[in-house]
Amino acid sequence: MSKQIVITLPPVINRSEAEAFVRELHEAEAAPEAVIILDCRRVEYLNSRAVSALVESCKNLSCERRLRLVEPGDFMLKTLEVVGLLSLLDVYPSLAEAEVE
Amino acid sequence: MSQTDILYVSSAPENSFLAELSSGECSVRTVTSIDEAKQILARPNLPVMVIDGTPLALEFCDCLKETRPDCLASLIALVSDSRVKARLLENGVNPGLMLSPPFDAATLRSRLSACLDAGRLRMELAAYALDLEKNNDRMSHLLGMKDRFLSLATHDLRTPLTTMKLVGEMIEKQLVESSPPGIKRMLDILARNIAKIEVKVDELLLIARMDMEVSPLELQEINVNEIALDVIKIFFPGAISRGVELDAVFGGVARIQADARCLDQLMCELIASSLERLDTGDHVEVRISTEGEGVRISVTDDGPPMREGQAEQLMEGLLNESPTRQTRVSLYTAHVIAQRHGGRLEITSSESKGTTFSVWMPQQAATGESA
Repeated sequence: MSKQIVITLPPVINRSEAEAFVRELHEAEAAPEAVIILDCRRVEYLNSRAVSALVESCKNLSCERRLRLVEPGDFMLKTLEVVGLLSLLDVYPSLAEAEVE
Repeated sequence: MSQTDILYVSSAPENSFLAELSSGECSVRTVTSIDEAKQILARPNLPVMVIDGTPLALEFCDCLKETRPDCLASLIALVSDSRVKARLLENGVNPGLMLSPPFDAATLRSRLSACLDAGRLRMELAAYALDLEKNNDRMSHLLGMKDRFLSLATHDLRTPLTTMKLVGEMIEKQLVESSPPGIKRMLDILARNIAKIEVKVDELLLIARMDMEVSPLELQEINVNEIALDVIKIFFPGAISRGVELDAVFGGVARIQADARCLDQLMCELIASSLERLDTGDHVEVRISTEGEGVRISVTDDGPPMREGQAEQLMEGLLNESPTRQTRVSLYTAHVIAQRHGGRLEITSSESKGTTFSVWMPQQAATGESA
């Protein structure tokens, strides 16, 4: 089983929170072969910078390292759909299921 | 009955003059029971009606007052009794059309001629009204189809386009030196065509926007925060591609009575007005807060401030209904929508606080327009 990195997202990601999230995401990308799991259960809003980071992450990661999203809410799902990301990510109904695969 | 010009209601009809009238260019139908008369009243097109002072005629007049009061003014009454006249006047019968004896055909013909013309015109108008109603229904149906199409085109079409664009960029990023040269060229063609479709979708958005200024308001209780979340995400692709950061701050429950489509459009215009001024690294904040008896929707950016007096000039131009440039068209649309709800648009700009486009909307839409 490959290494897994779980990033837990806060309820609201605006300017200050986005900076920390982007840094954490970049660090996870840099870890070779690691599966990145984003725990989105509490997310109510994430700003364009955070979404932009997800877009860049999808572009940077290889097909075998698709980002795993855990329980993204309605806003996050619709946002990812609007920016064209939804079909390029894997969405899981629980953290346990994201960790098992 | 379709060719009947005159309807004569009486318990004891005097047919001598009517027979003479019937032989001319108009047809007369005599009704001697109230049930038959009521059946005729149920029809949309009524002929010229003539009554006399008999009990059936008076009952018919009462019935007319109940069901078709619009016809009382053109009812012709052949009466001699003053008490009957008084009762008919009370019911609203036109005194100018109350004829006294003798009821000969020549006298009647002269009085009836104008009534017959009016009656025919009324029947024609009723037919036109029916046609108009059918056409209105058809038009409403077509407008509904147009709205659904615009919604489909502007939202549902844009989403897969964005995905196609993103996938194209991903493929381009993963191209290596050894990749066949034709692939880069095909990706360029793909990108150009996606851009063309995006322009068309934007044109459709413009049509939807123009619609907001004239469509009747459909007021309902609305959670402004929910609308804001719906709108903001639409601007993410644009903000991301321009490198602009788009934040949202919600200050508690914000409910107002408004037209959902208009409010959606209003927020789009405010955010678009702000975004188009900005460049990479700039920041926009959409803030929803309660203020007095209403809700304020503010969009503040840290882009270059307007020159001194420009915000005031912009507002003056909007209030004088003279928008010229793109920003002004967006803001003018926002201004019109706010005004239709009894709200107001405000613009402020300074070096220290940035530029804010904001709208205050009342909790209860103060509009004279019907819902």
